[in-house]
Amino acid sequence: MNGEAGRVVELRDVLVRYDGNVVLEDIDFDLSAGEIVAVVGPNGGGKSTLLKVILGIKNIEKGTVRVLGKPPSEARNDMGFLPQISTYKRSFPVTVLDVVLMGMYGRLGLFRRPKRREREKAMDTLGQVDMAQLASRPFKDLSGGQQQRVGIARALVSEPRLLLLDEPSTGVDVVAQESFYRLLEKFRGEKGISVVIVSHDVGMIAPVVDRVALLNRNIHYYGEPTGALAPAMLEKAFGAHVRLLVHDEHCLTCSRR
Amino acid sequence: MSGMLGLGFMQKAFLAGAIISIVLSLMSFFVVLRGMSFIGVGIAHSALGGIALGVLAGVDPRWTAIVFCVAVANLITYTSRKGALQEDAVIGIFFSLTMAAGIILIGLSKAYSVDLFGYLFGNILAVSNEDLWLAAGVGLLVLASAGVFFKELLMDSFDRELALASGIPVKSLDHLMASLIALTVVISVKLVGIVLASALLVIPGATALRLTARWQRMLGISLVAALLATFGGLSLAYFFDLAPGASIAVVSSALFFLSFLRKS
Repeated sequence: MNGEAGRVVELRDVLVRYDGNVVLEDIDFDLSAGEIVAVVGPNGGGKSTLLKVILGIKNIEKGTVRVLGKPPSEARNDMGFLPQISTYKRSFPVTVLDVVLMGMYGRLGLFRRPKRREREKAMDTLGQVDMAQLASRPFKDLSGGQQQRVGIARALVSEPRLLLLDEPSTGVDVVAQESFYRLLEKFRGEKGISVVIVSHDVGMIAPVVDRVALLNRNIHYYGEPTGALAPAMLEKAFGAHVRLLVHDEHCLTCSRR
Repeated sequence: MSGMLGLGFMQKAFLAGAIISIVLSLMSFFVVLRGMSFIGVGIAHSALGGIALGVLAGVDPRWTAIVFCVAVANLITYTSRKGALQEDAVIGIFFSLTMAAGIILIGLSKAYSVDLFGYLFGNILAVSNEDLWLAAGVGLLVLASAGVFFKELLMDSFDRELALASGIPVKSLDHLMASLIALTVVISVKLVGIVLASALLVIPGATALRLTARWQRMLGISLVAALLATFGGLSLAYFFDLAPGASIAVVSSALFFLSFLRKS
């Protein structure tokens, strides 16, 4: 149904350049239905570019990209995207509800405006992330954690089968991150959604995902999270000695279920 | 007041002011939200080149200004996207080039009757019926275009990456916005002139953004601010014998500074 054996994302031998410089090279990457994977690596290692390739907004020079068995541009309505918190304008005059409604603009197409049906859907999705009570609040007045939840609601409102999250933990405290990852687990369980999370914090992300890809121009490792935490592997991907802090079930200061 | 409104040229001035305020308030909304204030200044000043071309060729300068301004606006948008230069440097270059070309061309035309001061600072008291029809027609086109693509422009203004990921053609929207700014500037030139049109492309939207955190209200406040500035400025000009274009810009700026009385 989703291309080869339920594959949601499939990249083969992908090469991407920015202004002549190679940013991604020899990339083989796949994601199965219901899987949560993290793409981890240093700044400038090509993590966000990989998401853009999957979204179909960055052209590749070589290789193939399939999303749900289709070229990315044809699968756009099946993808929900949470850009980095730094990409939106802070003082922009929108309410929480406006932001979530934007998640349906692509699917609505030109000339159509959100109507009552779309508003109800947006309110329902806000309810799923426990933010319905703040629907009429200005978005800029929310905390980082609350904005992140609204961003997730916006990404989910069009009922995507694939969620792409670019550095979702930036500007969010540890407690809010914990509850955010629990939310992802919930949506994976309820909706069978697949998730790709881009992060630079391997220690935080490893305990909550099924697989980790260590990316620094090439994918240096793609497999079980424990394997990604090996010092030699991290050094290979980050290009320097890395000191690791893992928030797992033994962490005394972490808040957990 | 009734004396002022009883005069035919003042009635036309108020009507032209109302039409242009409606268009300027909407464009100002987007100019402020998209951070395009400087591109507005650049496009406005390029109008002089277009006017001069018309004067030299013996064609109605309003039409040459429309074609020239739209072309320059799209060239600035294209060059800043393609070139290695930052957008503000590109605007700075086009701004001075087109204005200088305009002054040279007007000099070459030997048409000493050209009201250069009128083009630079406006002459709303000399609005003709033709000017009114042009402002109404072009204004409707601008409002309709911005209205059709409103939600896409809003989303792109908020978060370009999100707009791209939603399949919204953001490059085309950049060109659409540049063209609409150019058209707005051309119909505003008669009212406030080239120099002040660029100010009115920014001030009503900036005033509104200071007063609200909701885009729907921002649109309304921007419209009220533009209408108040135009009507207030015209009235001040009539009663105190001041330059109308400059009076409109001063009232608009005064409203902006008054908005600081409200704590953000």
